[in-house]
Amino acid sequence: MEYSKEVVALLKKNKVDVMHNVTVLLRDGRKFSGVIMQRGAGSDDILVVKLDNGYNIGLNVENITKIDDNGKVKDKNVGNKKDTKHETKVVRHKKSLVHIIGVGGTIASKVDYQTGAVYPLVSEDELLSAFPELSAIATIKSSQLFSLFSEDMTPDIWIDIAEEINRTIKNEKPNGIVVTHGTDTMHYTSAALSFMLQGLPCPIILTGAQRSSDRGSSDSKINLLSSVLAAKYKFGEVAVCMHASMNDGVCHVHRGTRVRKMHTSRRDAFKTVNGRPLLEVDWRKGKIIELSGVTKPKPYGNLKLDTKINSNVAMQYFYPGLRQKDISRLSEYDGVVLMGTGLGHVSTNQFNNKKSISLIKEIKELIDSNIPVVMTSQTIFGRINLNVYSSGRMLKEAGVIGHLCDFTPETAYVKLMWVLGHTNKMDKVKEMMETNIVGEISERSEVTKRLII
Amino acid sequence: MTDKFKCGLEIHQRLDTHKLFCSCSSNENRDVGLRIHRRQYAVKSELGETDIAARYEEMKENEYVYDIYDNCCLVETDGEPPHDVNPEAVEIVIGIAKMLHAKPIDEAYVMRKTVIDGSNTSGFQRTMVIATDGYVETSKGRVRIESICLEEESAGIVKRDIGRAEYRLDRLGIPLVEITTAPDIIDPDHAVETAGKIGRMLRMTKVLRGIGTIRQDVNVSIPKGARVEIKGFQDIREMKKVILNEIERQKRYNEIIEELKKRFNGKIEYPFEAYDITNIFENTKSKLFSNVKKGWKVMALKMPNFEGIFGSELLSGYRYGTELSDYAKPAGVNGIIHSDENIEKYHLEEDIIDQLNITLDFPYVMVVAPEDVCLNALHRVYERSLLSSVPAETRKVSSLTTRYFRPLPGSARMYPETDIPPVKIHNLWDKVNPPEDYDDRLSKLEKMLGKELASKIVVHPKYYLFEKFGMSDPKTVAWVITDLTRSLSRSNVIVSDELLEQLFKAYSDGLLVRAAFEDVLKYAVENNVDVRTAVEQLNIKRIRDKELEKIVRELKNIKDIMRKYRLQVDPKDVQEILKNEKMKK
Repeated sequence: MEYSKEVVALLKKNKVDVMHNVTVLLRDGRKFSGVIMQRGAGSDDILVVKLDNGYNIGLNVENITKIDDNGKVKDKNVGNKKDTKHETKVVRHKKSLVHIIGVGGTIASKVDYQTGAVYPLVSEDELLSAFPELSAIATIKSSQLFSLFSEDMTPDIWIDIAEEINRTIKNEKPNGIVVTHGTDTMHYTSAALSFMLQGLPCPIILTGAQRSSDRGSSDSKINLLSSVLAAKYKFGEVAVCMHASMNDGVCHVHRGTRVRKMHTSRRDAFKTVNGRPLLEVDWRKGKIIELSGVTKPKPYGNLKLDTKINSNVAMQYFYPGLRQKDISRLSEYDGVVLMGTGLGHVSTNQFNNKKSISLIKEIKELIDSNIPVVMTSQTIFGRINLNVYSSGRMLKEAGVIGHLCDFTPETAYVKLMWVLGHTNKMDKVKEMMETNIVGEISERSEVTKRLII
Repeated sequence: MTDKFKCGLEIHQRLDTHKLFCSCSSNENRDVGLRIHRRQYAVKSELGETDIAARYEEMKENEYVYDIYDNCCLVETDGEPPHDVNPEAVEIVIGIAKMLHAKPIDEAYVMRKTVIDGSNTSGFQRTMVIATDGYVETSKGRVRIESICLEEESAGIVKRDIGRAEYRLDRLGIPLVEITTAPDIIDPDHAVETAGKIGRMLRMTKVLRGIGTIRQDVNVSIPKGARVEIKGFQDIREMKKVILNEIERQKRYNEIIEELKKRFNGKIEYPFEAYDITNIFENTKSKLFSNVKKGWKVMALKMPNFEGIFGSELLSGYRYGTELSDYAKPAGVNGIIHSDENIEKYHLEEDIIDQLNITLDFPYVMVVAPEDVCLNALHRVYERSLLSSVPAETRKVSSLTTRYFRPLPGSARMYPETDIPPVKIHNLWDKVNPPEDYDDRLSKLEKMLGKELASKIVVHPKYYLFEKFGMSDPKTVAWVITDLTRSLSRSNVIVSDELLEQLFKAYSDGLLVRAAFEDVLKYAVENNVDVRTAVEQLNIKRIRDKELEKIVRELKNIKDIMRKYRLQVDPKDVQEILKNEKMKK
């Protein structure tokens, strides 16, 4: 952020600039010596000074009478974005090669301790100097594809990531790949990669951090270590590896089509929905336990990159008060995923209450104009069943897809894009949507003591 | 080295409001039996060159365990970002700043101060400067206040073992004011006076009371000695003695260094030579060496010219050997054995002692631990033994002396907390009224209550009750708040503020007399009833007017009346009636 006109004028008048050592004199007689910082999140008429004791303070320009320049700060001390290179002796184990692809997020980033600004770790050297322990468990190669906030991801970017993974596997034949990603939409990306990269010869592990890497308590190191360990494990799936609990203990590896971010901030925010995690990784012992059946890896030649998608798909949450026009409006899309209530319901007004409405006609109109409508549930957990209540039966009769499916709404959304990239024939879409392709649907709901494992 | 005694204080006081970055209570609470296990790493740029494998191992071994209390939420566990700064805490600190004549910072930024001992689940402590450039007047001149900060309390240590530390999270996040004085304090008495004065001033504001709620650190530079930061004073009364002992320790330490220089003909210099003497102890039954069977090593450092030095006292019971031992401990040993000690006290077999004496025929320091710990510890002993002057360091109070704690903090690693927006202090500054001046309040109270009672109530935690109810009968109200509640609490009758309010109200309404207070409060607490009910059930409602006149006519004599109706009659009422009767006659 830039300073306001007032602050810039004051700096000019005193012939000083950002990153200069200065002594600031105030109207009330106080004197502060420190360094002029870049403008942070403060207000317009405030100059930010980093005092010699490390504290940042904000001073109102109106209270400043004079600023004495004590010279520009040497790059070494302040505002140095490049950390001095840490000598790292890389122990090259011949047996396992893990390639880390950075696409963003706080996990593979470093902080400028002066300004608090965060920068991505660009090179292999930087990554290894931030996480030197990684080279103790595998030979690490890394590349930074781009650096994006999780929420800035788009379907087109999923394709870029899938292509990069495909290239890396073809060129390097690694034992596994780790993708460092922002956490907010990581489960969309993992689902998309699952459909786009089939017949995998090695695991593709997505990981991120819930606490930024600048702090001693960050979960990044354990997540990354565990992900590299998981990437060495013999299976062929796209998965997400994150903390299993609030402890810095074991991590869980979740199937890419089953996982969902279930908490805004806890370390163990990622959970497998309707199933068990695939693996438990004990990074201390270097031990991996299978918690549910994993897909065996295929020969390297079997990998099939299939990025054909149609991203003109909408997701619509149902809520009491949703209007008919809200559904009709969806006709501009090529496909619709509904997040219904309970077993998969929207209002159908069976009792003809004057104050209620039915959305059946509008949904039927969408389907009749060849726009597939897929039902999922906002309960997140559990299976869609359109047979139990008459509203469900009406939806099923209207041609709504998803009966007996247990995919998450996000996975259904990604899958519908991918399916529509391959066909627009309604019966084919229905068949593909309701058939398990990469572990996104299971026929049995396992009995478990607790809802979330 | 300095030639003048210079001393500054750093005072930390907990504030009486909810936690700084969430709405959890600041009262230490119940352990809910939930624990989390975490690890922390030194952030990259703090590290020197270390072996990768060693770091990986170190990371596996260091664990922090946090006990969760019912006044903790996800914020304390570092499982949720901090909420906004508690505005009441900011206001209290502004009040304190005004009292100390300080000037505000226009816009305050929360900073992250890196901590690496696990005492904060996030890996840093959050802190912000609120005001600067204040002062406090003392009998020996003005002591300047450099800065007034608002920060979060750290977690409390429960247990520390090698590679593992356990903390309680109830304390974490309690707002603290940190007051830092300039080094304007001129002698130990002055330090005590200044700390006392600031402490009293703080108690004029909304601060927590009781053990651990206020902490004073002392920064002291000693002539011909070094600057040390002394932490962990439990009581300011021990401050003077501790400072005097520290001066003595440094003086004696200097003398020892001089003696060593003489023995070494100038610079203290000798090679690092460690001896692995594990095999000598393989068959001993001495408990101290029992871990040798598990693969621990016994190693000794050859320290030429040190004979008699280890045993030299710096203070009574505190030897040069103690200095080396304290400094070696962070390496992971429990202590050291040195050649000035009587080895027999370790219950070693005679032949082992003989063998030891033959092998080590020079002054030595010996340790028992895993090999890398041994070497590390001996290196620390070696490093300290080479010093040519008393080292500057952070020390901790331990029974009126100080012990090595850790190196002085370097240029604090601080960087901005990006999760919390800046706080505009200027906008709040004018809205906060400065707290009453201590001396003003005291002199006002002395006029009202006399010296003794005034000194008891002036910064009493329940002073607000005196403000509210003390106007009509200040002495009685002050006596109840200070003496009566205290004597009741000694017999385990804990009177709530609510009950006191009821009592003062009933008293001013004329429902009961002063002599009945003790019985009424006791009854109310024990039977969990309000004051009015207690008065009714005890049947000790105040007797006055016609009813009292009747009693006066019957018994005539004030002595007899008071003997019979002590708990119900105010002697002043009787005197009044008797006076009126006389006049009528």
